[in-house]
Amino acid sequence: MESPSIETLTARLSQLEQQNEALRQEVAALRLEQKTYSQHKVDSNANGLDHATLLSEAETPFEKVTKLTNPEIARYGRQLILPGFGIQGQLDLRNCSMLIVGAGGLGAPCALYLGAAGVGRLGIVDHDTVDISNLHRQVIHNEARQGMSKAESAALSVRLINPHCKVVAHDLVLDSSNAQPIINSYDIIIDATDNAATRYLLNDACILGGKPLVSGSALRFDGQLTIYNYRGGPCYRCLFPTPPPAETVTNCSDGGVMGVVPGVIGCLQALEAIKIAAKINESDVPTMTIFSANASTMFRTIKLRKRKPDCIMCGDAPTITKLIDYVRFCGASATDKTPDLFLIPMKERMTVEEYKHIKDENAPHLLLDVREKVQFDICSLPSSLNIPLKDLSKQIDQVKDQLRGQSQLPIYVVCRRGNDSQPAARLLQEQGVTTGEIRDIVGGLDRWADKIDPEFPKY
Amino acid sequence: MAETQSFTMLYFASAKDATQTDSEKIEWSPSLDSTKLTALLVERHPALKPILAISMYAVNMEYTDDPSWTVQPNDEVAIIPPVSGG
Repeated sequence: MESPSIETLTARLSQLEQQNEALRQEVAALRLEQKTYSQHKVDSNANGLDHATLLSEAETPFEKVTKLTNPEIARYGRQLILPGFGIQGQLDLRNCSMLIVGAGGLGAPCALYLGAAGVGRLGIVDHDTVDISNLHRQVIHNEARQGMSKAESAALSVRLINPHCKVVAHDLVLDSSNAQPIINSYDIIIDATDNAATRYLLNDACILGGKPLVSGSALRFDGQLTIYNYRGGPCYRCLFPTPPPAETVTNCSDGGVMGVVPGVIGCLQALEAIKIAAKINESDVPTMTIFSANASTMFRTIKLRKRKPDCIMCGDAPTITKLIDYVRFCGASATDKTPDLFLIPMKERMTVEEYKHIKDENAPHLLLDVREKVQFDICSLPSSLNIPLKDLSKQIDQVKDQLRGQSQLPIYVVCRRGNDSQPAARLLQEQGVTTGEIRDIVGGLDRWADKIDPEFPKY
Repeated sequence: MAETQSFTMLYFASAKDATQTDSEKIEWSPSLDSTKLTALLVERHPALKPILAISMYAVNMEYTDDPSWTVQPNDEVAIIPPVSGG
């Protein structure tokens, strides 16, 4: 074998040196970030700053100022020279405190822009931790922070972009027991949550506390933006008095979301909060902005009315005078996690291990995958038949065709998590599609990936 | 003979998913109030039923909850369900 030339080796050496340097820089950046993070932790511990203390810290009115410092003037120069904003607008922002509830797809850009713009004090509420599936839209977090509290991660990012902003991380689930004192200690509240229960909670707490609520929401390609309880305008209950039945609510995990869509709405929320703080466009009528990212008219503005005199929350004779149980009111939990469905008793279902056994034995059967086609296209088990749950009753003949006269062939039903597979199995049983057994797979393909095949993709 | 008159429905978010379209023109008829309109829409799109129960109606880009309101020719009626995600 010919030995490598000096030129080849030299080139390889310089390539390795470059990689070495890149890695060094990456480590240095991570160290710096962790130092900031652990420094904050140490500070918190040294002062005994637990949640209760953080809360009382948030409750104390922060110090307001009458003039900006030179470093602040240098930082905010491009805003300061804006006619209609200027030094007074910047001072108003500096002397304002805002609470962002939710450090997810909406809260991420909202917190970054509000922190960067120079809000005096910024509270960030979130109970969740950073997950890799968040990062396509929750751009305030990063890969190195997987598992870290989202409230802490978001607070850290804001501190890194603007140390002048006093950030308070509230790592908790906001509910009727704790919401009011937290909300009362801020001037403007930003609803960047992901579930109906927390939306009604925030609405009611803002009415009771007399705070404007900058509300944003996003799913798939759609977004909405409204300011509630502001200058005589309506509250969330004026427009949506009835909470959506749990089964009609889709979360980002099941419905999908284009990352930029909550990004757009979150930026608009930051903008509206700044306009309220700086008293810009105060005479505007209340509106709802509707964003349809995949329509030819992307933005529409719906003119709203004043608050409804007969609204049970903000009307002339309100019947709700304190916070209620919102999880019960909405019949859904205050998170956007998909709960497990238990429609069929466990003993009538099949575990992924049992299905693995059937597959290994080559036992004849039909595997029916009832996920939407868009999910089936990502990954599927070999020789499975795809009919989405919503089309199953119409396409039951297609299942029968697949049995090809083998009337005793067992049918196994699979979906992503083992929820949709249950009503699907029930439907097949009711229709008497086969005389063989019909069972669905507990935990679905997610569990298959966890327990049987680590190479199988999870999304 | 008079031309047939119509009005336009706009569907947003989950209403768009239920109808599989973001807008449609519907032949106008007199005294079509919100109750009759709801019935008409459910007949055309059964999947809309649970969504209409929780949605806000806007007529010509303005929120409405006026019980005496009826659809006028060329109106643009929007169905706006709440979006909860974020």
